[in-house]
Amino acid sequence: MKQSSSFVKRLGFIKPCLFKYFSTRHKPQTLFRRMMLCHNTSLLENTTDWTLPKSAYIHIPFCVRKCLYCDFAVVAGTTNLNLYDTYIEHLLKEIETTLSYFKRKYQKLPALETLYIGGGTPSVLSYIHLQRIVDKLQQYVDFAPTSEFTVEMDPGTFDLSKARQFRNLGVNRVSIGVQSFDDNLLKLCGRSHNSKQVYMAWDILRTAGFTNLSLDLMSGLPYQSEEIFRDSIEKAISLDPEHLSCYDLIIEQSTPFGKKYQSGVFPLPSEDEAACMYILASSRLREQGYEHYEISNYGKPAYLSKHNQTYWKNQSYYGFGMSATSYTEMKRFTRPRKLVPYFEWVKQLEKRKGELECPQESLREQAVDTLILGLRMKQGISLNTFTKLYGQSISQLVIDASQPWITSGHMLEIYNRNGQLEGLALKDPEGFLLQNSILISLLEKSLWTTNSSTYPVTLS
Amino acid sequence: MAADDLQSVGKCCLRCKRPIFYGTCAKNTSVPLYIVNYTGWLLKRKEFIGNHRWQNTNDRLPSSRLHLSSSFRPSLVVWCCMREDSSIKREEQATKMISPQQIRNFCIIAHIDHGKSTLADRLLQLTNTVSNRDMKDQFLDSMDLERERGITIKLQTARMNYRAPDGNEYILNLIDTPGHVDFSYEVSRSLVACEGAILVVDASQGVEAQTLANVYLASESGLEIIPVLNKVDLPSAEPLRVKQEIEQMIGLDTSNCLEISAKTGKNVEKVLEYIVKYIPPPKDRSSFPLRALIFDSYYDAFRGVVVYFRVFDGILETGKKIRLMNSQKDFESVQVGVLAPHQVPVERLISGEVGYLVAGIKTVQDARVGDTITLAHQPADCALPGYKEAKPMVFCGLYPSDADQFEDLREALEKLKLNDSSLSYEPESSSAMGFGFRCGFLGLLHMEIVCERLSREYGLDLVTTSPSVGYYVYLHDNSSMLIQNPCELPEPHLVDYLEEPYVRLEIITPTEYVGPLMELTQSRRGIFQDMKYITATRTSLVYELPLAELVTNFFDLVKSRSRGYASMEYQWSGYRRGDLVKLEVAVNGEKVDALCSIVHRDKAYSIARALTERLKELIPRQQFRIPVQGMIGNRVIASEHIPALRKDVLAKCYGGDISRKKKLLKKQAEGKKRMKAIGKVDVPQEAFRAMLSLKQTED
Repeated sequence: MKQSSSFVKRLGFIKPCLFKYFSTRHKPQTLFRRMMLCHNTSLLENTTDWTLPKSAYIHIPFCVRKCLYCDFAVVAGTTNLNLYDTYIEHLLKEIETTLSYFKRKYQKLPALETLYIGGGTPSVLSYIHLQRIVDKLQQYVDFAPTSEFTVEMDPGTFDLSKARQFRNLGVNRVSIGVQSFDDNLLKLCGRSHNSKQVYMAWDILRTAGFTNLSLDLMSGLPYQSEEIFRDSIEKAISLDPEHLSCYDLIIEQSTPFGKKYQSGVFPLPSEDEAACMYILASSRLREQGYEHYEISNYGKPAYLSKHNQTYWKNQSYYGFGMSATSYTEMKRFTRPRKLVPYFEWVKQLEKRKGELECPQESLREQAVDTLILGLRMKQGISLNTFTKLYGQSISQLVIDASQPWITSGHMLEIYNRNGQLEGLALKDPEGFLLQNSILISLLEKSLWTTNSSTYPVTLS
Repeated sequence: MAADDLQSVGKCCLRCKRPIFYGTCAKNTSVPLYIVNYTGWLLKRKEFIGNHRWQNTNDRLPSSRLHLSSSFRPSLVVWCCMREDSSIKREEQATKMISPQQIRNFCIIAHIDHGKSTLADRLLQLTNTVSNRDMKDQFLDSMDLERERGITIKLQTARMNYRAPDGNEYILNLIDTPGHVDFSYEVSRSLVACEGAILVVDASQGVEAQTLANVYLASESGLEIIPVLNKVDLPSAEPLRVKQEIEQMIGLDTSNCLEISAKTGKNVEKVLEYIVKYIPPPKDRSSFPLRALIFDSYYDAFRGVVVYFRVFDGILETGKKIRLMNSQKDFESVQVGVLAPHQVPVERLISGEVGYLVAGIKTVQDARVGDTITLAHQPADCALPGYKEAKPMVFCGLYPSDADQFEDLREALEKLKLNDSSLSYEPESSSAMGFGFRCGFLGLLHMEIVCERLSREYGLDLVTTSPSVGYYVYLHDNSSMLIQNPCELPEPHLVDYLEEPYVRLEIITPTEYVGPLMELTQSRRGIFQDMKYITATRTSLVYELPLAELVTNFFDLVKSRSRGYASMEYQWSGYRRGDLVKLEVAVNGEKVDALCSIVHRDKAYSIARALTERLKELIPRQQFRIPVQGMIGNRVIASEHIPALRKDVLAKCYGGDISRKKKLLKKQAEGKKRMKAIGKVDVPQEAFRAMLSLKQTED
């Protein structure tokens, strides 16, 4: 307890200065130059820093019930607190084993800049559980003074006291799963709450003092018309969230929705209708001063998700818990998606003293990841960084492959002040909507080609 | 068969001299003997025939045709492949000297399903040509495909020995004919080889279109026709009505018409009597220079082409130098024999006889059906009349769906061609379909069979373009050319006019369906020729119809319009001038050669509309708007557009999602690879298949 309250003091408030260049209307060039510098420092000059994560993701698989479209690794409907305890025990064991391995190997670990507890529904956990997790992390790593600590919380799973307790633990950002403000749709999707509970949850969080709230919405739901979606957007705007995520529903075969509906066929919206919803969200939210900084994410300037940008910039991060993916030491590893195998795996990890049994990603794979992830962001990819990391020839291939898309108005070239080409990005919304097609054509002409003679095979 | 029949056993046979057993068997040991199927090196059936006591180690099996199976093991069990001795006796009989007076050459003609093959089966059984043990249904239809579809594609021939009630021995040569118009040339050649025909008519269905067509062919060849009513055992049989139909439509006397049931065997023995009684024996022309008509041939991997022939003049002997008069090639006759129905070599075949010839002929083209065999040193003055070159009427493109199978397809076609001289093919490449072949066929059934055999026997997965016909193009400079592929049609300004093949179509239908059928035929540009009321309830319609209209699902429509009751038959009736245009389809401004077709001007609009609408559904959206146009020359006559792609699947992409995302992209890219690019547009292979099999006029 004592330890954690001292942590809160150190943590203070988020300082928005880090992202201040997003706030004013800088020309993209300037923005890119800065981004590039930032990349260079962190990626190349200090390689130890680069491979060691400054972000952590922790997965809490428990949910009140499983939504009908969801195919995440989720344990739904359990009220068996013993199971929660058992899970937390294993989770803590994993954190301990992994972090002590890193500590042994690198002596000093960089402070965590972001911590994200996702799920599932982490807000079904009690304050005690959360505290144990935070304490365990703090045994090994410091939290940076400006760190972003997000917990996903669903309406109806917490009250004011729990919200306050979470906040006291250092949680300074909450992502709240709303999905829609239409009660019929919420019911149809198998959500465990209604729109009234959303407003209540929102009030609770604001009362508890949270100043950085993110709200999740979904488009492309069955029977969802553009009107219903517009209504949800407006209602979301009226709550004035700092951050919004608008996801387009993906029908996964393994889910009840997958068995019931077919993509693009009524009652699911057609491709055109879904595209309209996407464009609606993009234009309406930008109008309201939100930055459309990633395909599905919008934020007020200075409130862009630091944690998620770690992913999109293809930087390393810890991952703990069932089904969580980590990206450490160039190894991308996904944990087992079921409880018992996960428990078994944690025991194995202990025996191996925290070392992951998983090959390092090749430089080529990393380049592919960087491209796929980087182009999700409005800022796109920095060609300087890309060239430095993966070579001039690959970089040139990507530039060449993007020419038709630039002509067709789906991609943007970003130039610096001297008129040099510095970056490539997708255009909002045309390019964002066709991200897959664009990526495939870029990759086919660059990194997926079999000719690797011009390309270093392994990381030196 | 009892073991006592075998006098001595020791070597497999004279020819291979393989010892019949290994190991421990001593002299005078008794061993069990088994017979296995004659045909099988593979042991299909094993039959214990008794124990046999070895006399000495040099003992041989009594007949040269008794072969030891290669699969026998060094034990006391002997598996020798041998036939029953009755068949040996038959062969001995077969080789006996005979005079033309004892010979009857005949064929059986019938509409599909009227029981031709079943009757043939019965005749073979009655004359003990095939033992009951070897008997399987439709014995003479040896291709699986034939037996499955109940049709005869490749003709078969069987020689039967028949002891007539008058005590005389006769040799009956049954020349089984293919029943379909596609093979009418082959049919006509085999008819020429006979002196008479048994006309089988289903006693409940009556005279059908094909019955008529075959009767015309047979009477053209001057054959004696014996009508036989089959299936009289069926409750629906109406022998009186059908007899009336035969008299009215064919003009045959039915006063002593046989009423049989090939299935139950009723009255079948009478058929044999009738054959001997009514069919004239061949003329004795043994003293003339040799002339023998080839009515069938097939390719045997070991012996080269085996030719089936009928001797008209002279005598054909083993070991003589022979000449094929139309192909002008000389060969040495290696083996001459009769078809009993297994091949049995004989020394010589006299005028009037039917047999086979092995002469080291390399391809069936050298020994085409209709060619005349004569002696090289003593040739006949002129060949037998009626020889025609095979002329393909229906064409289609065959493309392997997997481009790697192109060579396999070429090989398969070469092999089929060995056996089928009427099949023609030439390599063709299409920007949409890749490499393939343009094949020419005698007709639709022929095409269907070839495609089926390619996929069944050679395991090829093929894309078949919709069938087309050959057109004569007359240019302004007075030259003309035959085009088989619509893409080859010269620019419109060069073309004076086009001629297309027509058929004379005869449909026989219950009277109530005349209306719908006339409507159908008119809509297919049919020219009315004649209509006859055969009986009160049956009508015959005669039309001139463009073949191009016939090859696109016409037959299916006739069947559906008449609820399956109408039958049809057609004959080539020559080329006629037509107002034809080349209809092209352009996707995003690029013309797609695979979808090019030649159509009648009046129909161009509706076909173009159907094509473009269908393409719009089949081509997935791309990043830009794609116009799809049907064009005649440069004039757009139908236009659709595929709207631009609006949205991909927008997965969220957090920590664990990147590998899924990569998989998704890979999958999507794989899907794209299976598409053919037309200019900038990616079109899935399936779209082409669907388009090309598109029934052009949906009714």
